[in-house]
Amino acid sequence: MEVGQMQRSLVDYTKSLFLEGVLDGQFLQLQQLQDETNPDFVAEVVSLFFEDSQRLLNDLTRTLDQPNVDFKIVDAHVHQLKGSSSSIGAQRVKNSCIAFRNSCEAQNIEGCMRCLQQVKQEYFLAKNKLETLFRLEQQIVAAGGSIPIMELSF
Amino acid sequence: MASGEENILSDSCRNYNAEEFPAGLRVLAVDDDPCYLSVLEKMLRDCLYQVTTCDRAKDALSLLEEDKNKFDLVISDLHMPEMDGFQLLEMMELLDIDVPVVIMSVDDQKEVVMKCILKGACEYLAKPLQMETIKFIWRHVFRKKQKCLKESEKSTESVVNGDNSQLKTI
Repeated sequence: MEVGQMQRSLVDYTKSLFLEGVLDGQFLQLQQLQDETNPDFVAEVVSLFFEDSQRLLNDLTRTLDQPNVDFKIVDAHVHQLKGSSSSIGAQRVKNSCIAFRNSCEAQNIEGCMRCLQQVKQEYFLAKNKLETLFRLEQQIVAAGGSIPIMELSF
Repeated sequence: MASGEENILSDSCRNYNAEEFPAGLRVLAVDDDPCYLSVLEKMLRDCLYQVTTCDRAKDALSLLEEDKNKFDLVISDLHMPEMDGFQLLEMMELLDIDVPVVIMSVDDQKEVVMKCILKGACEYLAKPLQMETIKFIWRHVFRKKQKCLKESEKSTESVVNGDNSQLKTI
């Protein structure tokens, strides 16, 4: 595949992530912050998000598994996940956290379990999509091309 | 100017290089989310601010206690374990650390915003912050400097007025 085609594929793929709501404008902000002095900025921040989220999801699973669930702790973890997902623009993960916090407030254990499943689903979807995006970018760079700049004009 | 009056000016407001300002603004950024802290740090550096980061409010407080004149602005997350934004504001007030504080959060409930302002935050911003917002954050520092200068002028005036009677005799 020649570079131009790869670049077009990347643009189409990125657009689809926005249209599906997986990513929002904050992700574009991150891309705009990336420059020659910080050429891997987006990848670095996103990998921090992956690490943080994995830890939080493990903590959430463990906390909800307790005989007496401490909803305050659950809520604190979900709030953290909401924060970090919004900081990279992982919109669907963030939205699923909002629903999760409602279940925490209602102290609804079944609701929380369902929400946890939903958050995990959205997280793994976002993770896979972002990893694919980075792979596409790496292929373009390896072929000597440059990453096209995205504009939110759709 | 008598040395007493010089001290009033330099202690209560740091001397800025007016041409450079707001570049070089010294910001203390506090957030327990490593992801957001690195985004915020990059945004602040892109504005040419000098950034110090802390992932705990306690560490930020220690730095401020050490020397409050080392920072022009604090920008802090609200919900953090151990010590949160509210407690940081309270401690700063108790310790008379009058550096302007901007609170940020994903939480946008009205009561929370009001509580922050009541506790002394000069601004409340919803996360994630936009670059446009960060670019103008210096206005809080500028406002405080102007306030300091006005207060210093008032105290200098009263000192000068006190001396007037002696000048006339000379």
